[in-house]
Amino acid sequence: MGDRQILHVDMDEFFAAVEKLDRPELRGKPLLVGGSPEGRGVVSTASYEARKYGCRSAMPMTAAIRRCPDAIVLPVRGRRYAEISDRVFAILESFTPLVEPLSIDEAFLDVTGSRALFGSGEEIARRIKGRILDEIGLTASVGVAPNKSLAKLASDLEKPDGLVVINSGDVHRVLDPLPVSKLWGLGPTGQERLRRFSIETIGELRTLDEEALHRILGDAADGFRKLAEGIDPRPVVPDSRAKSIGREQTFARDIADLDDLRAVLLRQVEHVARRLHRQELAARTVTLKLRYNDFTTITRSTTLERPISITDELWRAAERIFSAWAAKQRRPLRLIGVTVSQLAPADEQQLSLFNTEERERMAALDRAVDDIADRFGEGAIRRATTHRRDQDGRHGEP
Amino acid sequence: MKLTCETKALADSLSLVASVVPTRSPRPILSNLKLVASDGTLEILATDLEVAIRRVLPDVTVEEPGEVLLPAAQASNITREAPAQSISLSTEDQTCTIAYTGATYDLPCDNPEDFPDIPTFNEKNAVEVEAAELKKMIGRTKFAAASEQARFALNGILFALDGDSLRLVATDGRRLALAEGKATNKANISADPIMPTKAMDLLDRLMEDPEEQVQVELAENQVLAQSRAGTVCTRLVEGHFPNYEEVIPKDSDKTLKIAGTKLLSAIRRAALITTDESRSIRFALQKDALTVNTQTLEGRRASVEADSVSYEGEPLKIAFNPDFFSEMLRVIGDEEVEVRFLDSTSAALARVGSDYQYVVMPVQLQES
Repeated sequence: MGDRQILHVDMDEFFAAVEKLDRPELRGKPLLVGGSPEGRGVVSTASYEARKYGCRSAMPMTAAIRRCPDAIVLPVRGRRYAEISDRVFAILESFTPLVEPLSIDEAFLDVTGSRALFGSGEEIARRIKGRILDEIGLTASVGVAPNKSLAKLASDLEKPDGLVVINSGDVHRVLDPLPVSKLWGLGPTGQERLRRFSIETIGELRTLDEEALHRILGDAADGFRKLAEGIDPRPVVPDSRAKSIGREQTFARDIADLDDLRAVLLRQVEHVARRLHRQELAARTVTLKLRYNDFTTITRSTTLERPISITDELWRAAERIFSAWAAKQRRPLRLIGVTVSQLAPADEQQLSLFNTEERERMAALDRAVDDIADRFGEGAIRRATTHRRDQDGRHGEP
Repeated sequence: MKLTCETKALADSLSLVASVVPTRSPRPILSNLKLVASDGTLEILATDLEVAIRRVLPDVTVEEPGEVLLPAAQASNITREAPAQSISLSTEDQTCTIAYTGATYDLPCDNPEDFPDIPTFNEKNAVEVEAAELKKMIGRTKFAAASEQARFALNGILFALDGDSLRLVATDGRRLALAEGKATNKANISADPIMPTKAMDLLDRLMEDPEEQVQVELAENQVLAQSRAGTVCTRLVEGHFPNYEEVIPKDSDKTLKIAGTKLLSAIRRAALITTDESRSIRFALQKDALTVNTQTLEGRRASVEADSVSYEGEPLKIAFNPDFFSEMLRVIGDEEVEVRFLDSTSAALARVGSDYQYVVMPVQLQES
């Protein structure tokens, strides 16, 4: 386990940062994004300028305004944040498919297998920060460590725009002086109990004898001691059980060329298929989402007789919807996306006649592609259609 | 063009041909039917560029030969609703007038020259099959083809010709239907094109006289089939048909014999309580007895004993999707069916007479 390399990527003051991105005149000003004070709303994000006045997220908006009367109060624009979040996650997923979202602006990445392709964990963290800044214009803080709890802790140490690496050898040096509140999952009650026994730092907790700690924290004692030792074997779990799995992409410039759109769509289908395979699921419904440059958004879907998960089968279903749309609509697209739903376990009870033939062959191909992508990141292997297009941008026949 | 004909005959023909017209198409011209009138007959054509049909309507009084494009939906609605015995069509400039006693419709029309060419039949390479036989073979296979297009090569019917033996095969990957028949194959052609199910459906509907010989021309990438009532021309489904002979079980050692209607009745009665989530039916087989059991997640259970059963072999429990059996049993009518089994996870093979085999994979049994 010591070999793992985990990243925790945390966007800085995410909602406030998106507001500043969209309205540059807000830069440098104290911002409170959240519910209105009249509606007894709470702060979702306070910009760093507002935090200087003691404003924090989850604080009632009225209380925050009392502390910082000059703050500009902005409503939450959830769809806009989700759009930016999708772009952030797309960047993260270009380094490894092992991305576990914690929330809209925060994720763990297991880059253990990506290092051969992209360099060390620290190098990958630097690249991720660079791309988020270049392509989106936002900053992120990244922690790099051998496990999740250390990575999360590290990302918090030098916020904003931080990059902190904790190596296995540094664990005690870094952890010991930190307050126990930094331990992931230790709530106010636990912190209060520890304080009563004058245990303020992680180092103090770590060196306390086992029985004493058990008397203070009960059955959770063992878990927290392991965290204090820098031990956390929890794996990065890419997807939690979802009702649907999807992928979409907003283009920097509208795309009209059908083959270019097909190439994007195919990559999205491959991505979605991989996530299905990882969860051993199959899907019955395939939905395409298409947005025109005037922001009109349409969805088209097809429901199949039985759940499918083989990439080629999913692609055929998506391609059929796309072609039906293309046959009567030829408007440039601003966004295209594919979602699969009506998910069912892939180990269908209905047995198949052709287990030994095409199905097996196709499933085996999928497994091989998944394996390579899992180990080296999504760009490492591509179907020929998407590959050629990326290489030279020509409109070759698929 | 100017003609008069019997309303019902025209309405039936128009609606058959109109079923080929694509609902949405990049080429608006395809929403038309093409009508060609010449000495005593009217030809009605339509295509979706995949499948084309030419219906020949005899007994038409043609005063002036000619051709016209009619919007498919309107033309077939107008004729279907017409209460009169006979109906007349005439064209002047770019307008077609449909008239019967008490009603007149003027329809502006597209130029017939813009309509895509539809290949014509070439008798040289044709094989012949008796209509009654081909109809039976199509009926016994087409329901087993996949109706979705996610698995290509399976959403069509294999038309395998070898000497004078013809096999139609259809499968959706979970069951497979194989019907065998005879063809007159003077040119000794060997071929095994995959025909779209839609084309086979149209051919089925074009075979009006069971005793006539249907001619089938197998060309490089298309097939034309012609009966007296018309011609179907279809592009072939691309791809390889799976190796179907390999999945026909050969080592089954348990045999059930029962009249098709009796098995269908037992399955239908047992399935009355099932839901979409728990649809499977379970056969419990022992010496000369078959019980069909169902059970749902909500706790409903049914147990139905089939009538007049012969069963030889070790007792067996095996579960199926009921549709896979009932769809097959519905097309064989009251013929006797023999079903052979090996075990609860291997394909069952149903045989009817000497010319129909149907393979169906079971559903994995959950022990309860």
